[in-house]
Amino acid sequence: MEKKRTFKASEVAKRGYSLVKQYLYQRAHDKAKEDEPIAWACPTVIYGPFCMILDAMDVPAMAMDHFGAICAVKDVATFFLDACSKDYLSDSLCGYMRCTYGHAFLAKELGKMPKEAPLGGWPKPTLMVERSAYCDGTYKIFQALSRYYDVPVYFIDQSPAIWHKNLEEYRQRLIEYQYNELKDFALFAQKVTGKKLDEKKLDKLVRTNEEIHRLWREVNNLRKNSPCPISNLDMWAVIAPGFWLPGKEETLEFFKELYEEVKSRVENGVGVIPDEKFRLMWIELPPWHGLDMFEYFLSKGAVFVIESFWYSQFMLPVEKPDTVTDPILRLAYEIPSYTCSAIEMAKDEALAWRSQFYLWMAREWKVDGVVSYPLLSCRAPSFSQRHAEEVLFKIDSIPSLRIQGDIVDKRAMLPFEQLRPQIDAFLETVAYYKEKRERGK
Amino acid sequence: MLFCGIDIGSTITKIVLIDEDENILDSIVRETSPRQRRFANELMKELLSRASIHINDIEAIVATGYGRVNVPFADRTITEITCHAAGVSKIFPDARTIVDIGGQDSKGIRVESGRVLNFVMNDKCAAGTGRFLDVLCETLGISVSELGRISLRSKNPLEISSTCTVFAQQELASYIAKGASLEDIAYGVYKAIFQRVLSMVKRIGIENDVVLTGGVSKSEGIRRVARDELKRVFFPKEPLVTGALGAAILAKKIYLQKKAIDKRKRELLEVLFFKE
Repeated sequence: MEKKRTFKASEVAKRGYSLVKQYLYQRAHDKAKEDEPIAWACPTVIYGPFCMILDAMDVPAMAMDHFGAICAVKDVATFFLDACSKDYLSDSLCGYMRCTYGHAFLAKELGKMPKEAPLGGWPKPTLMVERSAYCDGTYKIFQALSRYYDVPVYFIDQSPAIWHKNLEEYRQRLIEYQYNELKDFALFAQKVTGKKLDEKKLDKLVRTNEEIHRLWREVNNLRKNSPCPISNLDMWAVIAPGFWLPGKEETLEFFKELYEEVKSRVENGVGVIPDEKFRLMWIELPPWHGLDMFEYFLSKGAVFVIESFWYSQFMLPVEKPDTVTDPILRLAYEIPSYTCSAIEMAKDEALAWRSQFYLWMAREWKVDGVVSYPLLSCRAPSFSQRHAEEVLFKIDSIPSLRIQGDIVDKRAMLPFEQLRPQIDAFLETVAYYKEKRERGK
Repeated sequence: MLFCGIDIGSTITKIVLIDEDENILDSIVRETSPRQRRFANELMKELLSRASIHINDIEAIVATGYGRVNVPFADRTITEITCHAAGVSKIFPDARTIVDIGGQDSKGIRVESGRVLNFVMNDKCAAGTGRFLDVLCETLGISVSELGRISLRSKNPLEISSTCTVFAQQELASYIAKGASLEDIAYGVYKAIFQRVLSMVKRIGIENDVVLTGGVSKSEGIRRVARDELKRVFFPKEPLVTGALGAAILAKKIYLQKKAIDKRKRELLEVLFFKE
């Protein structure tokens, strides 16, 4: 039975799950049955380029993040995390990857996919692809999995963008570097799978994906309106097709419909809840196992109008010259450009650019308070949160609440009953500063 | 005019009655009963009987604490963080940081003119709460009140480095086995709990004056450590009732705000209908 929601949920967003089920999981299982090659790919930003290159070779790329998140939503994550620990892997590694590893370990031990694996788990890969260094918690697991299945793993080098005196020149160097990396990967993948890359197909995927990102950005921009027309819960559901089905026509249709739905809500003054008292920002990934918590916020009139995490980088458009026709080069533009644009926007060299990006978002989406969620098993997006809290408070008097936890491991999070007094006190503080800011206007 | 605040904490419940000048007329402190609604009613009856008043004589009542939703006669519920800030600022107007060590939780609150600027609460761990003291006193075979007294005689304080209650218990057992003095162990226990809370409060910044509240702050042992660690630290005479006092003060504020709004409404009606 479908759970009754206490807020205005998006009709379109709820279809994201079935799209992923059909075009990601089912497709992988169908390919496996036909003995066709399958890839397992690394998380987030760079997944898109990998996935589209592989898709242009008719090789489906499996998203490790999605499996971990869905395990948490279905409350089976601890089962797979424990299986991973049983094989002596550290508990401080990426939660998503530990779920994936745990399910692979159990599948091998049982001789079949464990029944707990959501959507039938992932079929055995033909190759794997991961970034080196950028995300330390996943890197070693790919190495381990590669040995486990005795399949090759390709580590692409993703250079993190940093402050640079000549940012434009630096951006160009990074694009060139990523271009060569992606090209090498394409050669490697063709060699391993025996499949040829269809450049025309890749070009279509890349350009469709650019339109998907534009629509995604526009939906987020519509959330600047008050009342906010779509909830954080729906926007997190949107990640599934937005991230894991890049460049697909079905994804484009999904985002077109989503945009129309949200736009119509704005035009008709329809909000997530009827009485929006506070506008909040969520910093970084959510507790996939504890999404019910957000209904409590909504019951108090607090709406999360924007969330930051890796995908928030899609909020900034990537400028690509029309002269760039090589689809791999167009993909290469995406990898460093989001970060470079955020750095470019940062005005104060003394403050971390990421904190200034949070500040920009808080101002753009007219945020009254911030909830930050440092993740035990996902360090990269967590490291700047405390600084961001400080910057937001000192510069714009935006108070914050920090909730400790993890993306998938529910044991790492404070039970809701203990969390509730903190949320209540935080919202009282938010009310005070909101009133103070309004008085000061 | 009378106002009342009731603070149902996880271990102790406090109720305070104040007059319009915010003077405490009476207060009651009791161990929290699991049947909170009935318990709240009984406590209110006792307060009314002691003050020889009727509930209608109280203009407004605010409930706070974990059990605040279980107070049937409350006009409003407000979190303990906000109430603490209001209560402590009444007693210490220059207070900027409140360190509250309760039976089951601890918190740090940054305040200014009685309003909360920022706050932090302990996570899912008992080390840094009164429960830490209870467990370690069990290991030492003494009562919590004895522990405070004994700690004042410490000459060479010991370090309890474990941040976990269970491991600290083991550390204590090893000190006892080595023949360490009870006085030095006792001081070490207070230092351990205080430093743990302090490192949490540092996340929101510690600004003077600091006020220590909560049940644990009644102990001379923790007060000594607090004085050793902080420059300007103060202790309310009744550290348990600051939250309930704040609730009563906020009850008065809410009442006056409502009265002012009603007055403005009446004035507006007069202008609209009677001033022709």
